[in-house]
Amino acid sequence: MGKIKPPRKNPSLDMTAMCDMAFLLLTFFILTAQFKPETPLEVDAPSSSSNKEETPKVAKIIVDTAGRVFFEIKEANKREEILRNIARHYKIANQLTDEDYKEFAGRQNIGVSIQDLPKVLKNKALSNDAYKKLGVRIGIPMDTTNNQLGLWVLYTNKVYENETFNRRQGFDEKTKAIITKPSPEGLSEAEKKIWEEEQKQMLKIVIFGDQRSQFKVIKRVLEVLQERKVNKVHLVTNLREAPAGAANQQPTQKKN
Amino acid sequence: MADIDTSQGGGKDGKKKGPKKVSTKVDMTPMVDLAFLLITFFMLTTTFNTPKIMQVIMPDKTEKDPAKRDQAKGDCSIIILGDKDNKLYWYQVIKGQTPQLQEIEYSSEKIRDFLTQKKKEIKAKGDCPQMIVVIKFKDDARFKNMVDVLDEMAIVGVSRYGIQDIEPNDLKLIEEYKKQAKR
Repeated sequence: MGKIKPPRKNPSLDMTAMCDMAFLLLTFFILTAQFKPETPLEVDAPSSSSNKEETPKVAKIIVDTAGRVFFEIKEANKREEILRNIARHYKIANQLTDEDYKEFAGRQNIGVSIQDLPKVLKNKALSNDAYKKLGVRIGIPMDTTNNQLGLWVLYTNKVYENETFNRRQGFDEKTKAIITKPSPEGLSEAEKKIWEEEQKQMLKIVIFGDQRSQFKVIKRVLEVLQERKVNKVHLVTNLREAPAGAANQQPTQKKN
Repeated sequence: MADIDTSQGGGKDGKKKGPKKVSTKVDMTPMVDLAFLLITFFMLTTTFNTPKIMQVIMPDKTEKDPAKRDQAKGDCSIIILGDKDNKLYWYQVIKGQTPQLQEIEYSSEKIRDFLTQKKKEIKAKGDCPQMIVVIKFKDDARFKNMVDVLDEMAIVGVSRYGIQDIEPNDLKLIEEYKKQAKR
């Protein structure tokens, strides 16, 4: 008696569908990816339990362990206007060409004094070594006699204030009353949404300091901001888990 | 790779079957492997890259009204001093007494417990609406110290606090405390 042989099946799978899906996801992630901005500074942020996320309209002051300060304007389309203001203030506008402005708009952050800026932009220097070759000191000066950081903050604020003003032109009186409130207390749910939406549109000044940075430097940065009437500051932190019942967590927000 | 040739090896019995048929199937496995590798990479780089921020409100420097500025003094408030090497001290200003500096052990739990306890104590007194905390750091303290303390404040729910410059008096207190601790 012959044995019954099970028919031999080909164990291969059709991978096409899987491949399609994988590439679809890949495309999605590539398009949505936002890479870490290129910084010549290495900064290791401290941790906190705050789970608020950074909004798109941010001006960042980066402080490294050595106390050097960089300034970053997150929105690329604002950079040129801010630089034009600064250049006018420092009377270096004649040293900058349209191409330099374009180069500046393509940069995430600035980390040299304004006087050195034309040189850096013309040489397209990006890395630490390139700065060194040009003989440029890294870091934006912010001492009392030469407070350039303050000016960056001032003009960034100004450009964003103009934008806010223009945006609010179209609003009716009622909406204006809601969005100018300092806090969302006493607003209805719908009004709160409008208020929060508007808050997202406002410029946030953020300090991105290394956890080992000396407090002296941070204090000076805060001082500079206070001089420019920026009293609401945000600090970049890594998320660490908050203990149960913490007062600062969104869902179970309590008031004392 | 994933395909296993199971055909019975044509042409064994000498019959000619014409040109050999070539399968049009392409093995997709390596391509899928690659795609998933890249997906993993992009997923990891995107999702972990939204920075988290923490809000700090600084006192208005242009505020000239001394009544508003000096609120922090008195027994409704405590003062926290930060020194280098992760050292934290606190004291209270009470009229007619020399301030007594005490150390707070530097760990999230200890700072949190301290703040919760003080908040309760001050509330229990009744004549204070809420606790006010004044934070002062020495120049050689670290940024981490400041964020740690502010974070604990947010966790405990201390909404009234201020970061102020350290005064010579505070420096003296720290020096004295250190001397005593050595003895």
